[in-house]
Parts: sequence; structure tokens; C-alpha cells
Amino acid sequence: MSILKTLIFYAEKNDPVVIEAKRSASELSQVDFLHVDELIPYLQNAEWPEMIRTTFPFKLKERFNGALVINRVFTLADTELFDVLNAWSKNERWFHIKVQPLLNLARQLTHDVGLRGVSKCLLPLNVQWYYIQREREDISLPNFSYAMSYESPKNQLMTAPMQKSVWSLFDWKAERNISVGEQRRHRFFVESPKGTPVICYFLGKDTRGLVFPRTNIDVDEGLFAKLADLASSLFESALGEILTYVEDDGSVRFYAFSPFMRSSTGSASFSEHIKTWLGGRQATAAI
Amino acid sequence: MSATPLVAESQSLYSTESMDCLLEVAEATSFAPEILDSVLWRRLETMRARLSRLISPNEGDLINKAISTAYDDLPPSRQARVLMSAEFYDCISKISRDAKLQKNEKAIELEHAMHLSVLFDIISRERAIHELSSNVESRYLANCRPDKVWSPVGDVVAQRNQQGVWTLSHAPTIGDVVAIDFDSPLAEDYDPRSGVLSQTRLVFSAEEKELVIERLQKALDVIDSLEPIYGLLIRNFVRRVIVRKSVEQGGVEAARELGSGVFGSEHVHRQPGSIRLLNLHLDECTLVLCVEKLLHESTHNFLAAWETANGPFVTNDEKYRPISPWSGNPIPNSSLVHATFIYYMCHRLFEAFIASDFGSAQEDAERIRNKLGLFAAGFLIPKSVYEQLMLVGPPRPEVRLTLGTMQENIQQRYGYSA
Repeated sequence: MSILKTLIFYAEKNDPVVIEAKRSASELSQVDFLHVDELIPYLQNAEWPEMIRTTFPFKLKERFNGALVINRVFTLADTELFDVLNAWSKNERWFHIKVQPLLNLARQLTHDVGLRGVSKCLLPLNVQWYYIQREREDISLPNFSYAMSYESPKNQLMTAPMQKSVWSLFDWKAERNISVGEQRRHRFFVESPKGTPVICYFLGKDTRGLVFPRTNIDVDEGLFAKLADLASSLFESALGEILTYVEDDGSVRFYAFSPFMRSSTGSASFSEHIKTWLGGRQATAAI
Repeated sequence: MSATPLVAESQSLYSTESMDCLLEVAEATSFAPEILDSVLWRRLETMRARLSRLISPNEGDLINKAISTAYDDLPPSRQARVLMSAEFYDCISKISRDAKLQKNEKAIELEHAMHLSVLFDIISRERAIHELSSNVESRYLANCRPDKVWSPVGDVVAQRNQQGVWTLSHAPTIGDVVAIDFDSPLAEDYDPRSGVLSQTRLVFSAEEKELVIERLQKALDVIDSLEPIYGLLIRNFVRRVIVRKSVEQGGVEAARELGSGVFGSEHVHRQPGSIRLLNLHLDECTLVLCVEKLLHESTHNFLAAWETANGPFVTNDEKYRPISPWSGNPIPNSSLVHATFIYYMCHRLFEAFIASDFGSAQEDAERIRNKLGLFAAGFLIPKSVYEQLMLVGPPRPEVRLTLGTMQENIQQRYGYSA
């Protein structure tokens, strides 16, 4: 079986997957990288209804055509493209709409369209919990309250409510990513996690690793494998990491899924796993 | 067509029970005027039925009987004004909700009595205004402490002068029938769930009031001219525009830094027939913005009227809110269904806007095009709008088809496939 050509399409310079893949690039064949800023020459400001004119050359399309596209364009923050779109007064949505024909050329995509909240891989916390609960009632989820507009949060049933941003997936020690607006409006509180945090990352169907940010504990790997599979399927992501807390009685509570892989990157096995996974991808293999 | 023919019986031939009729209105087809009329009628009939379920004249206590007597005394056109007012709906929805609350019996009774007394007051105010229009000072006014008494629909005010004489005046209107409300008790309410009524309440100067009325009238003129059906929709379904000032001229930047919405606007389901708009007096408020806000919120009123008559599109669990592909904000399921219709209709209106003389000024043209881009974007993101809903129970079966039709139409218009 032939190796499936792979394009890593990314936006964040410090993206853990990109860093690890670049580190191993010399040992891997047919792995290609494309940063969103490289598309700027093929974009032009245009008036409605066109909004943005794209003139993607054949060579560029060929890089997507038939490839496994590891779509890592989750946010345009800190890119030149962001400034370009701003200067043109064009909403980020239009970039995603215009780049979709390129993604459509891919043979496989690791994540769906990267638009916060609309993409299944970038859902807010409570929406993630909704999908998990709908699929599997037996998975423990955090207790939370979500106020409407400026109304007071109903936190009576929580022992240690913690104000969170619905968008802040992995910030559970102290919330550092909450906007001024969210602090005052549509206030979201979650019962503070108890126990030991355990992160499980997954790359495709077969490569998984556990990360213990605080303390190493014995866990049921089979259970984590099942949780990772569930997250992969519900959040339409071939790559990702899930955050759980193992509580004192040994039960596991699911907190979040993230496609960013920022917490996995510190683990000793992550680098090796990325290399193995990229090296092992094959045209017919499921990802 | 008159906006207030509320006393004759409904004659509509077009069935408005299916959501299909809403697409006819969105597309402003030849059926639309009849549908708009029919939906209005059905809302009126639903309100009448709800009142008779709540109040039984032959049973119950004094307050029940008094409400019934006061209501029956009103001529049918006045009854209709009560039934179609935002205040009435707000009150009866609280009464219905009381019954479902898990409280002790005493607490339920007290709350129920409070809402019934509000209902009695609503009907009595319309009655007092009716009597005063025939130069009769009612017992209600004779016993009234405040100097101003508003009609429940918000269009007429009885006012007492220093000599104790009551006279009637009319609230300013746009399109002859839509009252602009700067300072009624409803406009001065505080509601923490509201993005508008939770904001600081500053006093409008007379000039600012004039400016706001002028801007809204101009916006309605533009809508009337571009799509008369949408103008008709506004006249039929919006009785009252509540306007609040929360930011002084020059204070926009500072307000935004605090995370406050400067040009917030909303409709709330329990106050149909009214919309709320924020800070239309500011220099930054443009004609394009006013046109969008007026159509956007009025369409909410229309859709809510249809839901009142036919049942909700979807159920909501506020703990779980889908993300709007237009704004990126978490919003309730019902708001996402509304938003789809609203952006579809705004897109349709703004296509006519850009092609018209109104949109010929360069600055306005740029604003209109930007808005068109925004309205279209939510439909063009390669995700089904329907699939974003976080349903807790089965939706009406037509929801998927109706939302899908609108999304496909816009995708085709722009040459994108789903």
C-alpha cells in the first residue's frame, strides 16, 4: 500500500502537531506544510457578492488534491491573514467559505471546517457535554449553570462554582481566558473539578497516549480508549485530546475535548507518536 | 390594508398551520398579504381563548368576576387592543407559568393574585382610556395616583394636569400605527435577561426623541418602498417600539470597552407586538442600521405570533444553546430558527436596497454590501443550519425542510453547493 500524501494546513506557528511533524519531516516522505499566510497572494479584496476573490493556482490545488489534509486552521489570530481580512473589513467566515473548495479536494480531512462554535471540533464546553450526554448517559459530566443575559447564575446546587468561559476548554485551575463581556453577561459557572486530571490524546484510530499533568495514577486504559473514540466521532476529529478528572472513588468525569493538543505536547511519548502516526498513514487506512 | 381591522371575522383561505406559509411571506409572494392577515387573526383568536381559559366569570372569586366584567364592558375593538398588547401576553404567560412552578400552595396563591391584579389593571387602563375618549373620567382615573396612564398597547396616554384634569394624548408613531415608546413603565422596566432593558436608563432630550422618530420613520419608508409586504408585516405585528438611551453622544468607544452592546436590539417572546432598540440617537447610528434593526426585530414579532397560534418551532433548554453561524454567539434553539428567517429576509431586502437609489450614496452602499456579506455568510458556511440545533424534543417536522430550503436558496444564489 502506498503512503498517503499529507498536507498539514495550519495557522498557529506554535501548533504542537506542526512543530512535531516538522521535527520529523526529514524522516517522513510526502508530508507537506501550508501556512494560511501563504494563501494571501491568491486572495484579493472584492465587493459583495464575491467578497474575496480567490485565484488558487493549479499547483496549490494539487497539494490538496487527493491528500490527507490535517486541517489545523482553528483560529486566524496572530496571522498576517487576520490583518489582511481586517483591512478589507471581511469577516473570517468569508475566508472559511472561500477556502472550502480547496478542502473539498482532500481525500480525507482530520477536522471539519474550522470556525469556532459551528465546527464540531470547536464547540463550547456545554455544547460538548450536550453531545456526550445525548450519546452516552453513563458518562459523568460536570454540574454547571448558564445564566441568560445579565441574570444571576443559579449556583445553589454547586459546592465550589468556578466561573468559566464556555470557550475555554482546558483552563481549570484558574480561568485566564474569559472576556470582559463573558464576565458580566451569560455567566457560565461549573463545579470545580476534584481529583486527578488525566489527559488522553489520540491520533487516528490506533495511536493514543495518556498524560498526567499533576500526578501519575493507575487508570483503566480501555475506558480512556472508549472515551477518545467517542470524542473523535462526536467532534468529527481524527486528532485531539480529552481532559478528564479521576475522582477519589475512582470514577472518571469528562471535562473537555480539544483539537489543539496543547496539553499533550509536554508528554514524552507525544513526539514519537506523531512521527509514528504520520509514518504509518496509508492510502487505505482509516484515520 | 388597514393594520387594525380586528373586529371582523377571519376570512382567510390560505392555511397558515404549516411553516410553508412563512416562506411565502419571506419571499413576499402574492399569498403573503393574506397570510399576514390570517396569522394576525389566529393570534387574536388564540389570545381570546387563553383569556377565557384563565377567567371564568361564573366561578371563582371577586377578582375573576371583576376582570370578566371589565373586559366584557369593552367594545370589541378595545378588547382586541388589550388581547394584542405586549403587556397582556406578558401577564398571562406569567399566570400560566405560576401553575407549573413547584412552590407551596400559599406562595402560588399570592403570586397568582398579584398577576390577576395586573391583568385587571391592564384591562381597566384600556377601559379608562376608552371612557376618557368620550369625555368621561372613570373611577379608575379618579382613584389613580400616578399622573400618567398608558394604554396596554402603548399608543395612548391619559395625563393629569396640575388642576387635576385628565386629557388624552397619542404617543408618536411611525407608519401611522407603530407607537414609539421612550418612557412608559414598560420602557422603564429593568430586566436582567434583557440586553436592552438591563442597560443604564438615561433621559432622552426632546431633540433626541425627534431624531429617533425621524430615523425610524425613514427606515420604515425605505422598507415600504423596497418591499411593501415587509412594511405590511411591520404594521401588522409591531404595535410598540421601545427605545432606550444608555450611552451619551461620544460615549460609544468607552461603552464598548466595558463590553456593553451599544446598538443592542431585541424581541422577547412573552411581549409580542413590541420590540426594543438601544441608542438610536447616536451619531454612529446609520440608516442602514435602522433598516436592519427594524426588519430584524419586527420579523421576530411576526414569527412569534405564528408560534403563538400554531405552537413553537422547537423547544429550548437554555443550558444548551447552539452557536449562531452568523454571530458566533450561543443563542437558544428558537432564536436560531428565527435568525434563519430573519437573515434570509434581511438578505432579500438588502439586495433590493443596494440596487435602489437609497443605497446609492457611497458610504451607505459600502455598509449595505457589508451587511449582505454578513447575512449570506451564515448560510454559506458548509454546515447545515438545522444541524446546529440542540434539540431536546422532536421539532415540528417542517423545521428541517424550511431551514434547508432557505439555506439552499442562498447557496444557489451565490453558486455554492451544500
